Amino acid sequence: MKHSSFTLKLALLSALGSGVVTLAIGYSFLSIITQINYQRIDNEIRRLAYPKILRSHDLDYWPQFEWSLRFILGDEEARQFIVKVFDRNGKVLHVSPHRPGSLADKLSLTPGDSEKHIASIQLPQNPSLRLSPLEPAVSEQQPLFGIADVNLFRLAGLPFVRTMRQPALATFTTHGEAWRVAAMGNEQVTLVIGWNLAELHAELGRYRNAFLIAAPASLLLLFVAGLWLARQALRPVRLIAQTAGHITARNLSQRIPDTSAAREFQHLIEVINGMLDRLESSFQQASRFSADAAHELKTPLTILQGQIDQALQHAPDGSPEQGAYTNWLDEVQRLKAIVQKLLLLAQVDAGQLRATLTRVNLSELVESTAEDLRVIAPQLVLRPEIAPDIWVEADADLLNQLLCNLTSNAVKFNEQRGQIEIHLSSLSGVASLVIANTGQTIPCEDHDQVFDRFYRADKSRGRHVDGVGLGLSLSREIARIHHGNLALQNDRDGWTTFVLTLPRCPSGQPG
Amino acid sequence: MKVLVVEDEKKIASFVRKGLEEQGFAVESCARGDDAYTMARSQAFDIIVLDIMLPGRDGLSILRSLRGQKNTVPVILLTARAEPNERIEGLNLGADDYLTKPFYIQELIARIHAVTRRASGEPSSVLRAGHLTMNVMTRQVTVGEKHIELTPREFNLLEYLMRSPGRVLTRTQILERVWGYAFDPQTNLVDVNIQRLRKKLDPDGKGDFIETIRSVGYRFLKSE
Repeated sequence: MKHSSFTLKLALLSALGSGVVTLAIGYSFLSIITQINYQRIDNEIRRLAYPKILRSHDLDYWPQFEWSLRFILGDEEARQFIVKVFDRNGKVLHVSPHRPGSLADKLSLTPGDSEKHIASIQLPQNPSLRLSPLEPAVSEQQPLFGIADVNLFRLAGLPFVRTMRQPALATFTTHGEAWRVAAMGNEQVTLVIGWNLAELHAELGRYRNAFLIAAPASLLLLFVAGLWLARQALRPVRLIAQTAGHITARNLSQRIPDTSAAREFQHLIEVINGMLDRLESSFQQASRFSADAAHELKTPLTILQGQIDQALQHAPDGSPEQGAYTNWLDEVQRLKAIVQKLLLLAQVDAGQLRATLTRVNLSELVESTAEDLRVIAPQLVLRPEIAPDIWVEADADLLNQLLCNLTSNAVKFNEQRGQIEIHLSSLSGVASLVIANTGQTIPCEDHDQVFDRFYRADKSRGRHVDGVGLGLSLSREIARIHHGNLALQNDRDGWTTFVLTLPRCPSGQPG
Repeated sequence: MKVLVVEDEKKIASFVRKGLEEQGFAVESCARGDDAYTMARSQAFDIIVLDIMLPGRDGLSILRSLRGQKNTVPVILLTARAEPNERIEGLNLGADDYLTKPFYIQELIARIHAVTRRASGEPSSVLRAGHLTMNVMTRQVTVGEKHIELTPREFNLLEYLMRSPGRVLTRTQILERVWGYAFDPQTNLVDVNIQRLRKKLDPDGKGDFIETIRSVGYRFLKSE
């Protein structure tokens, strides 16, 4: 398809636009939800644990602390976190008894873990380890990877001397589960709370999945709706095009009705109708002009011809004046022919070529034309085959010009001792005249242009042969106003064949 | 015969008047439509030659009024336009014939003769010149008692010549009238057909009807 459908484009664009917007909204919705939940967890931890670390407690306070946490958060939430407390030397003071799954063991926070195990967790290198962007990681000069530092300090056997007042918060993934970890400490102990994010991530995943299913479905729906809408919206344009398509040079007075169209199209219709107004008036002007020009030219020609003729009649036979008058009359004749041709062309251009139809004996006309051919071109072999008594309804002048044009072409473009065939026959109400000549044929690629106004097969051919003949385009125009046609056939090598078809009328003299 | 020529172009009116007067017509001419209408109503003419485009009142309207008053005077319309509609309208209004400008005076004379003969009930279909007779309707030509077989072109050529006896006709003029506009004026069509006509009409070469005027054309002899 050369031109893409505007309707399709519109639907695709609308679907694309809404797709981008939906994606953006979905993405920001998901990230906002994520952030809100992280913040909630962080706040919760901070709210519940931080005040406890500000004061010194007995060493056996921490199991009680965990128990109170579980009491406050409830069973559901309780399953999601673990608590670990160790002293400055890294000795574990308390670990949650209810560790969900095997996870708590693998957390590197257990002091008894082997170095190898710890290395396998590789907290600092773990790409999913991120500190919450919402919170400064660790107070003072603590590097970002606070939790890891805690472990590394401990693993290196160094005393854990750093005191963290503000909780250090981080997210990291281990063994397929994500944890939000808060570490905080005072002079005595370091408290680490891990919050399992699996539940949260599962929930977020459900949101995401719902979105991933809903978005394409709604986009498809939007595309279909867009297609339908665009089609609906363009219906007035189709109607306008349809009406405009019916308007030709012959019925320029037609206008596009602007009754039911929307305001936006009303303007378009007005513009097109305005254009048609101008077109019609200029067409009328053009045809008036050609009529006026014909009148203006014909009046002086009539005078010239009348006066020269009068002088000719009174000139003595054989006198030089008589010869001169004859030449002048010939020139007047040439001017008349030119005016006639111009008028015909103007009428064709304005779509106003009309025929005065009378019954014409086509057989007789073709017979006469063949007879003339023998006189004009005695060097050519002429083979006429003319069925008698074929009558057509035609403008005798125009038909005569058409025949004359075809036969003079057959002579002009023939070879030295060439041939011309003229066949007139009739089949089921259609008279068909075939005029064929030998000589250089018209190249196949030119067949479509032969009937163009300015076509000439060989531009080097002399101008003088053109004379006052009409082009093939006018010949075809004449054939068509008689409800017939003129076509170029290419069925024989070395022959140029034109076929004129005209509707035949019943034989015999008009009653 | 009394002719009213209604034509606003003075020079056209002048050569028409001269041409007709040479043929023995009595000619009145008039340049304005309304005047022409008054004249046509007040005087009796044998024929009116009426231009369509006129100042005052156009030719078709004059024709319509005349026919409306049951005035049956023969009318030949002159028109510069090639509009078929105008011609058809004129004929429908009751014009007897029409002539498109530019025209030769002998064409007008021939048509005046044809129309007036038809109007007076005289059969216009037979043309005579000496012992040569042509029936335009049956398309038969006889010399004395002898029937002559002519091709359509030869027939049309002879008819044209017989309708303009005594006038010089140039080759191009004959070509235009008999063959149409589209022919190359350089052709020898006219000469060849004249030779054939002569041979058919007058095989012995005793009394030729057609006179050759060297490097000009031909003239059909005026019968006494």
